Amino acid sequence: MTGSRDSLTVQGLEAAYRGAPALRGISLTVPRGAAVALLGANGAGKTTTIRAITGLLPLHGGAITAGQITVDGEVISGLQSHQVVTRGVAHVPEGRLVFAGMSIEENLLTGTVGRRSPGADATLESIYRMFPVLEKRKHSAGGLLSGGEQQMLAIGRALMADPTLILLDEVSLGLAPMVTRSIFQSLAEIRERSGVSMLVVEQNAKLALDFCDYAFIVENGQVVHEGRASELRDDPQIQELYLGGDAGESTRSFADARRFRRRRRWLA
Amino acid sequence: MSRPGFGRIVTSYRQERRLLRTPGRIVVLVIALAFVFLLPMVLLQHSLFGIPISDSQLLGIGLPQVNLTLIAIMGAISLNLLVGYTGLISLGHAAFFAVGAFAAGFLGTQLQLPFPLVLLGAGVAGAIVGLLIGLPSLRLQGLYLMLATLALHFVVIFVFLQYQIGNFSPAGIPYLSPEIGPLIIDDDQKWYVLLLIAAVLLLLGVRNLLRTRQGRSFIAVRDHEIAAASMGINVPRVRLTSFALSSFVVSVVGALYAYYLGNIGEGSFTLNFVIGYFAMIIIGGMGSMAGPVFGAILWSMLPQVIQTIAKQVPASTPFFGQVLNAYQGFVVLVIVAILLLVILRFRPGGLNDYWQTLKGGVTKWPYRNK
Repeated sequence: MTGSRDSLTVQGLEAAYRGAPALRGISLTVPRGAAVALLGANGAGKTTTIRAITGLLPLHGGAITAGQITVDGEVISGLQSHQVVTRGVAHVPEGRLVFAGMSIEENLLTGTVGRRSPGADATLESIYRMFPVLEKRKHSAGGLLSGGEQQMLAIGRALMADPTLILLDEVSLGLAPMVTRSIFQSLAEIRERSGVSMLVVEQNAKLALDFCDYAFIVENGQVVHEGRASELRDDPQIQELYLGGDAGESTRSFADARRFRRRRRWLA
Repeated sequence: MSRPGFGRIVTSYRQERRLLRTPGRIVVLVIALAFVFLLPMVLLQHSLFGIPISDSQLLGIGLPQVNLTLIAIMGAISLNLLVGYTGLISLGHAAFFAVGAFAAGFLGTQLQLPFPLVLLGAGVAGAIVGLLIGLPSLRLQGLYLMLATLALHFVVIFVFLQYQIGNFSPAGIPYLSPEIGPLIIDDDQKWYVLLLIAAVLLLLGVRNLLRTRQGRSFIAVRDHEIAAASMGINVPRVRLTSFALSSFVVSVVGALYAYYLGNIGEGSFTLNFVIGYFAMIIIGGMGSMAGPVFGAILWSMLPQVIQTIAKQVPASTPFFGQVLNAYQGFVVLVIVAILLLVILRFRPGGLNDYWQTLKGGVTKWPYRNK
């Protein structure tokens, strides 16, 4: 908890999968206690960035080729994933990856593997308070939960490590808008209460910009744009590209869908 | 507590963590204890409370079968720890039995060390070999890992054979009756007590292990390697730990097995032996606590039981009487095979699945289970 005032810094990160470059020099910063969004189209390199931070890249056949990652001022690039977790970095993976055969409580307790501070029981109770459905069904198998409940479980599991930084990869993936909203509300609560920093990777740019303070936009493995979330929300170019034109509206119509097709052409 | 008497309502964490949580469990425990105490008496004296019981009424089962079953239970539990809970497939099971027998031959028969020390030595030797064979598991999985462990099997059997022929006889390595302090374990009844205690301790130990961080790490690695890694689990270390732990136990069981038989050669450690153990945990239910126990009991007892029943069928019985008498061993195999297919077809979860359904039916009564 000493040294840098930034929770996470990534400098000139380059990574490749078996020689095929995926990141071409990404630099970003997450100040302590802030929520930062990482936006971009499919294949832009968002998930690869997360994998590089968590040390999971080798498991996916990739490797960091250049650059440096620090957490709380300590260099973590090149560490193995279990070492990264003990530095206070928790990960809510894309697709949730709940342990299907374990009960909900066992899933949560698995999160304590990377924990280095006491008080796991209190954390468990606070997670149950936040997501009562998890407590109600704590003995049933994780694989039997609905998508939204699995996402709650994945978030709870990450919190069990008592992290200083949470990496959230595609939280809204495959969830109904209402469920997504309630999950982001819970995340806002978590931020307020524990002051944990968050790096949010999202396809749903509007949702992410509403939740975060700052955002980086990635394309082709590079950061092409960055700024305060409130400014990006009003930026006409960003609106055209990622927000469907009418950032103020929370519902989407068929007209939005048509614009979406136009955007796709624009990108291609 | 609005519906007292129905189902089980837990109101405190202490209640939930108790070992004997329900009256049903106490009943089961009492029945199990009575069974365990009466079993050797019934099998040795052929009577229960003065009522004589014939050999065929006992289905031809004697105390030696029971002891071998206890050994099989321990072997199955430790294989299940590796295969069922950590998700690593290893054909090295017989090899680890052989390592245990080898260590027991060297430390016990040759160096004449005390029995507990021999067991410990066998375990340590097994753990070291387990670590070595665990190394490929860091890179290989599934069928490839299976092939790597198959190689280990042949290497160990070869070394065992060289040792056996070089120091003893082609017939096998002889073992003395084990001594624990003043106690000499030289008959089936004493072996029964020793093996029973060992099996219960192992079962409780594994059960407890799976409720710890380390135990959950095993299951997490099995369920999803990447998710486990992102939770902060050191996946390579968990794999090696599982291999070392499992082979420690298997080798101790192997030493016990060798001592129990009194003489063992390399011919006992075949691939059939390995397949038998896989059959036990699959029939019983992989990745469950009770599964290997049920599987081992069925697999070790069933052939004897079927053979005893088959003997009582007179040859004059139409259709199958003659076949039963002429091809006894063959018929036993066919019946076992059919039974296995039936179990796997209707209950892929194995015998443990039946047990869970029965348990659920009792505890949830009068509500329907599922």
